[in-house]
Amino acid sequence: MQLNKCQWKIGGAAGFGIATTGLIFSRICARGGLKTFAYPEYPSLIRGGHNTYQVVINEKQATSQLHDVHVLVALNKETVELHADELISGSAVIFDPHDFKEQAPTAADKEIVWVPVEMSRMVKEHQSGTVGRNIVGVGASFALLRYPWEIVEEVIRDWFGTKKPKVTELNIALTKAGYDAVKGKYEQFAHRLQSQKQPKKQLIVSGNTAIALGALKAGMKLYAAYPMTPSSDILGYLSKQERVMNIVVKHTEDEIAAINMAIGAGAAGVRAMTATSGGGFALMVEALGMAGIAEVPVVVVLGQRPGPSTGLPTWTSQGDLRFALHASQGEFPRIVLAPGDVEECFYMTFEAFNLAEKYQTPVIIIVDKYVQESWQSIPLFDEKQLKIHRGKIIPQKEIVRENGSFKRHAYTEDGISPRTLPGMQNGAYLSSSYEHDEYGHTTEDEQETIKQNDKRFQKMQTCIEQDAKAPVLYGPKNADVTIVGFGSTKLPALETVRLAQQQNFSVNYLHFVYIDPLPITAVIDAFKQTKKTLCVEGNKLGQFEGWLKEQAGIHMDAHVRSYGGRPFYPEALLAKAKKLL
Amino acid sequence: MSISLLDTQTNQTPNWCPGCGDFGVLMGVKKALVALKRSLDETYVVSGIGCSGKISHYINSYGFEGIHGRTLPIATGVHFANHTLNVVAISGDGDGYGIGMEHFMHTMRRNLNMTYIVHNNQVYGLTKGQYSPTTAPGTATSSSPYGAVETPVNPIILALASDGISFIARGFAGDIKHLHTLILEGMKHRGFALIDVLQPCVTFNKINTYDFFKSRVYKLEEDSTYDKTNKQQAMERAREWDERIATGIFYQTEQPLYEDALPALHRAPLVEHTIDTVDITPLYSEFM
Repeated sequence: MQLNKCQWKIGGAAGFGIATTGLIFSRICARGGLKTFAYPEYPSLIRGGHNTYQVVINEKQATSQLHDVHVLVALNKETVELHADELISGSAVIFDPHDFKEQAPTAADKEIVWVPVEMSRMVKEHQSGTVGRNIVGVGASFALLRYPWEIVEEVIRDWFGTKKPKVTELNIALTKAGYDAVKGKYEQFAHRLQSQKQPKKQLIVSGNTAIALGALKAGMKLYAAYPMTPSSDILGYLSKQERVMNIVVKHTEDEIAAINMAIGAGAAGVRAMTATSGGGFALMVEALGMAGIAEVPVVVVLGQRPGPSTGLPTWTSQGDLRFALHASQGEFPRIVLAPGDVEECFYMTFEAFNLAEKYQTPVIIIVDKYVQESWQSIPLFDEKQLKIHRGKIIPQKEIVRENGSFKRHAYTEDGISPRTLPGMQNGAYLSSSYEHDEYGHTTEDEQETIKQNDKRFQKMQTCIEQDAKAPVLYGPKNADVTIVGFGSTKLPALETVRLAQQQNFSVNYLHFVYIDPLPITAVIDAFKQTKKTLCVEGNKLGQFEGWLKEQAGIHMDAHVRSYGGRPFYPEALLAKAKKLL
Repeated sequence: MSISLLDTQTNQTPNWCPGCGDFGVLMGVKKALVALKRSLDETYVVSGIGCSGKISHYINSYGFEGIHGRTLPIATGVHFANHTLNVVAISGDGDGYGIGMEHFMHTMRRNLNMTYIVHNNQVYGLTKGQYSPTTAPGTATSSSPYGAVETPVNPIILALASDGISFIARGFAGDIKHLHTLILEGMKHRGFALIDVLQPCVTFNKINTYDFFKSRVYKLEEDSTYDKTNKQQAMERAREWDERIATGIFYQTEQPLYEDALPALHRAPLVEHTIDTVDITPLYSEFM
């Protein structure tokens, strides 16, 4: 028997409600105290095309999708054909015999537990139109996994709520029909899910919603954005919360307007954010530099997907790292953070607002479709540890006016100049995209230009000393192989470390969140402890590997680079790590 | 609060060409600020790039000299952050009707409570005399040596065509007395106010000179047959150019502001909201 350790997958045409079903499935598992990681795949279409949603369930930790699928719910014939490779002997396939009238489903020579469930017939009997087979599949899955019906029913009731009792009852009836059709059968299927005793409360959150929640917690008051996959869900979620949380959410005419509005609000003393993907970020680039030279705080979320140009809109990538690091003409300080999982998305977004105001400069949160649209079960956020720091906003009574203006860009030891907020008496100054002197007045003087540049970059030195955190090592201390990565590489890498432990291989993972400024001394120290290094990143040219080499002189022993739009699979990473031994 | 003209001045000396129409616009804005009688620390001037963009250096208020074409989104951000400020966006015809045209059209749709002044001199001055979106067809410039081909933008007609904006005016930099009242009316108006300013470029535009305008401009408010709530009539007057050119308020109406639909602003400006005690736990239930 395999207890509390399996992967479930549902597949079908777009429009079948695949994502909703997957989320309900995750929530039912999490309600019973199990850990889940859910990863959806879908093409850039509204209807048609093949969609999947897979959930890894584990008693202790779940951070990545896996290759092997143990329960496959096939909402059409195509699903069995497309995913036969992922099945192993002993896996179960829940299918509708209606889809296989001419020929029974097959999966090469694997011994599959075929679970026919009359999904279409059940839906017809309950007169629920065409949608509903998905929820029958959920019911059948939990019966197959011997999971208690009470939890299934409870979550479905919560999901559909009390507003439309008819809809809620219909969905419960359909789930129950699926559950009862399978209950007590298929003893040969070895996987079981068991709810935990007194389960701790968990949230099921995606990277996007975690970013949105982190921004709300940080006191973000203006969110301005233009929709673009994979960041559109941030706009959707925050729009819903506009009146609940007393914020302003502006869907702008384009990304240029979005970032300029955020910068305007930042200059006026309000925490503001925008989010986009590579194409939209390309449009924001000019304003990014303006925030840099004018020293205005702004938080920009860059959600990567494969480029160049429109590329693969609904797939994942880490191909915009160099773009984030170098975007905009000239040189100016920026902070680039790469949260790697849902919890980091929350905490680092909160942190980003503190850093943006402290250093009065743009902060880029670089994420990707994989972490943004994957849903993880996590403990409730630890809000108590979070403190707002607004940096050097000067109190009204301390404002001094010299030479007819407030010295907004005064030279200081840490490079950070005090600022006033519009409306404060005697605090007036001009923010400028031109090079300027301490007062904000335009200058073309060589020495002044050099001094202002040095002052701005001093802020990054201060950031390294006070805020930029060293990379974090996960897994055993002195492993034979160290996987090195940034951002969402954390998800499959942590699973790889666990897989390695189970197979008695010694692998750990060195995780980078603070990318720029890079705390170089701490990075060099971290690599002193490593034996063989394997750099894992989602692009072709090794942008991150090159960055570490350039900044800290680090040379890797090997690398794995993926640029086909798919995330890494732990099984494949482990195989690569083993080759280094 | 009593403000003098001297108070509005900064220690920066304007670097426009002698006789530039921009001086007229600057004086118009300053006089309007004096007449507005609000603390200058409560005014925020956003300008773009071009000769017009320099203006924010010469007004003793908070301000932002942004990037080319983006005055309106920056001003919108400032306005959302603190809608009690007197936000004034100042552009040029290249900045506002060329590269920034998209923001112009969309900002009009919103009817935000702020003022938008456009220096319209029908030429690019700072880059040395290329044709602009408002240059007349056939005009030879450094980027149109064989004569400009396109039909020019008529900003007043574009604004009239937008049902969002609620105050549309045109001033003349050569008549500061009139111009400053238009700017003042624009600042006092509850809603988005456009003041397009005919502003001669003495260096690069030898056609649309002070004399060209002086012999053509007339004031709508001196015409008793003109009704500034009549869009049809406004459209007709906005089309005039060769024989005579209308100045004054073309159109003014009262309509809902964008911020009326933002409950977050009703209690206090965003900048005054307390942010260190935000509780997000009520949002958890959706994720459990």
